[in-house]
Amino acid sequence: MSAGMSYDPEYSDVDNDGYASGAVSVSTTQIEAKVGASRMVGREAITITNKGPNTLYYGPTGVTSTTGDVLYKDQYVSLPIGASLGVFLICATGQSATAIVQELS
Amino acid sequence: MKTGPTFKSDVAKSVPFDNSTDGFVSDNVQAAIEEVRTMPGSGVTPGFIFSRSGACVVGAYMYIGQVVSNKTGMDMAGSNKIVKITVSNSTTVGSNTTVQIQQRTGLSTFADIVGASVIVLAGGFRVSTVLAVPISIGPDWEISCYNKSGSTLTDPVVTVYLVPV
Repeated sequence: MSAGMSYDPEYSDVDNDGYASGAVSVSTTQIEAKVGASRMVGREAITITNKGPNTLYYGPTGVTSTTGDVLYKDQYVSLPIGASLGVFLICATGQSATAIVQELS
Repeated sequence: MKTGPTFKSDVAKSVPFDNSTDGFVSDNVQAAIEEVRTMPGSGVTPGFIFSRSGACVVGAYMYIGQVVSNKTGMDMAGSNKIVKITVSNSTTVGSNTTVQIQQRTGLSTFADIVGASVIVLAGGFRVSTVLAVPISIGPDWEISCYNKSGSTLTDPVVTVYLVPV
């Protein structure tokens, strides 16, 4: 029997390799939403929950409170973004927030 | 495809509120509810009413039910803000007449609450004043109401609108 790709349809619709969670302090300088020092290898999705106390904004690198999408306190977003792209967080001038970031692979 | 599309949860602040026809300032549900809370009449009651049948000369107090308000004040539970005061009268007044709200500082001892007054203008018989700066009162103050200066009021009814803090 030759070696090749394996495919198990039972797990074809779930992330089954990695799951990590951590808190990220967000201020007026953009910071990447990731759990460890680096993005999770093989990442397939990321969730971000804003624990407040202020509104935060998310987007690609270079995000600002003007260009980013809003995430109010207690709101969360799930993004199907792989490890090749970063998601960055920022708060408006004078504000800060804590984000709970979870990465799935 | 393992993962689904982007999903963002809703919170009250992220739910739009159509304010195009109702006079609200708020454009999201969170702000709209907070706006309702600060509207006159949305507080502990539609308002506390002081009144007096017949003449209410300068210096005379109005009643709460059958009790003159400088003997026993109207107790308000908790901390509140006075946001609006209205006065209506059965006749026009001869000169600008000030209606003053007081709070009890001791048994049968009442003192003016600074800013908690309205003026019925000469020739008028009613006034409705939304206070530019709501006045904090309480917790658990007793309030009274009297004709502070100007002309005699006749059959005055004074309503004090509160919102809880």
